[in-house]
Amino acid sequence: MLSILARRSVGRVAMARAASSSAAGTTDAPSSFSHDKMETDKRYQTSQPVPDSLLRGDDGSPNNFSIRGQFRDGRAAYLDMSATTPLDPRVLDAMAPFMIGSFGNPHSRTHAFGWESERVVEDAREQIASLIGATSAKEIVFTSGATESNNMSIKGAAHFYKKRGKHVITTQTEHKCVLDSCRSLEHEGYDVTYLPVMEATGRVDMDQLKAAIRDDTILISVMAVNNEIGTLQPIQEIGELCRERKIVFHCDAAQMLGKLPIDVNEMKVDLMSMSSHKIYGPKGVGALYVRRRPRVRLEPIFSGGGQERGLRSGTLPHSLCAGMGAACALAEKEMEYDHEWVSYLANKLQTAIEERIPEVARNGDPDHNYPGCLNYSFAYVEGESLLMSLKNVAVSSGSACTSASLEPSYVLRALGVDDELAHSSLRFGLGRFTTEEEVDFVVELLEKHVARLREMSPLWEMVQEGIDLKEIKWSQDAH
Amino acid sequence: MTNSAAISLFRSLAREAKHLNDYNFRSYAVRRVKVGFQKSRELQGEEAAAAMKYGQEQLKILKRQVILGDLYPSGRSVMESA
Repeated sequence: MLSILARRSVGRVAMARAASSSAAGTTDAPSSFSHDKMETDKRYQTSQPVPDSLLRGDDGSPNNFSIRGQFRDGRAAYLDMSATTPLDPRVLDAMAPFMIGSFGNPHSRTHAFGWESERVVEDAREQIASLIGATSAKEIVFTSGATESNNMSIKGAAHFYKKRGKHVITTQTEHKCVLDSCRSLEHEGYDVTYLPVMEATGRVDMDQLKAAIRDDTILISVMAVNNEIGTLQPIQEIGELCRERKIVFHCDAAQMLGKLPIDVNEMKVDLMSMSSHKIYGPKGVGALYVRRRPRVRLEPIFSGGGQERGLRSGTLPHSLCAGMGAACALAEKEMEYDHEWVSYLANKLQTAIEERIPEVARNGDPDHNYPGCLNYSFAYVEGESLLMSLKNVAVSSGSACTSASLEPSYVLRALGVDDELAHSSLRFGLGRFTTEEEVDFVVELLEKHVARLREMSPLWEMVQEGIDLKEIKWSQDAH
Repeated sequence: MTNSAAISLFRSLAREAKHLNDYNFRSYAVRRVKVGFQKSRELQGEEAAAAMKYGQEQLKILKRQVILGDLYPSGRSVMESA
């Protein structure tokens, strides 16, 4: 009897351990890893003999660089709100009925299943229109996300207005999908100008923009808030300029929606891309605002049943649309308090980093930005190592955001940031659900690990002695 | 304006909020309930009635989400294992 109980409890403990390690946010090393393999692998042999105490990392000496066993258990603190946001429980509540009993196709006209799904889609349209100040809910088209909205607007507008001209202007700090859409337009024969941004701030220079406009410019695409550095562009000024010159103005507002107030009529935006999963809504849905007065026309990229005014065929995911609508309604109501909270946390984080850690540089504009997106470069520290030592915090580095390559981020490069500083940058995303304790925790970890990594660095030693690294003639560079 | 219905609603919301499974949602809910009542303290008449109705709907939502959170637990956060 006792042995049966013992076996059962062991099983339960094993299951609990398995369950806890498979809980979101915690992973161990892949099963292909083994210390024995590393011992015999020639790539990891040291060129000089390393004292055993340093390898074991347990002799308690001051230059003990090991961080083994220093991590807490559990899911990491999430500070990457620019990448995506958790689904607000209130939004999940709004979506749930439409994933259970109310499953009808919103385009089914003949029965109540269809009617109730259509109702929720139209309500969501109203909620989104209300958040952005659109004149009518008919101006909102649901898509699969901001990437699709960007593709639809850039390719769609360029193709429709090709008789008017073939020049498109965008900036160098746009999201990859915008840059890639423009590149595909270039392959089709359009001329695209990729405007540089002002180096200190990342903002568009209005004079440069005016100078770049030609007689055959048909479309200008500038994002509202940058996803890597948080810089806010002068959207209203650009909108007024475009309205004057009769150029279609597309704005990717995925990072600005629900966080800073938007009024598409004041900003004179013709096309605006929106993403649901950046505002505590579900992933897989987004929207595109398409102005009706004055009418903006697009050539659709999807052929099909002509849903969404012919602009975007396909059955609408009414539960996701309901989620996006609920997220927008919530954002409208909570914008003021969310902004207060995020600014408070951002201020705390910024002050703490700048006071407690020397040699840090903020990437982005301190005056025109969304406070919840902070990007800092920690000089003389290797970015990947810092990320690995911040195992208990989920942040993203400023490089390789959109690809798995080791290239530094093109946004930071457009800001004129040195390659080394670009590699050592981290992006912190704060949001509605971030707690003060998480911010304190990340600051503590940063202070400790930046100091530890710098202690290891001979470059840091040289800098401390007052040597100017730029004056050094590295022997490997001289050929 | 002290209102026993408002106080009772506040107590119910605050109590439910503490039962949320996820660390971040729980911390937000506790904070948001407190701030929500602080900011609506001065409301009168129709506005106060609307705020009470809103609070009662939110209580129903919160109760459902507490149950869902227990059915699909998020797992412990590092902040909880300090």
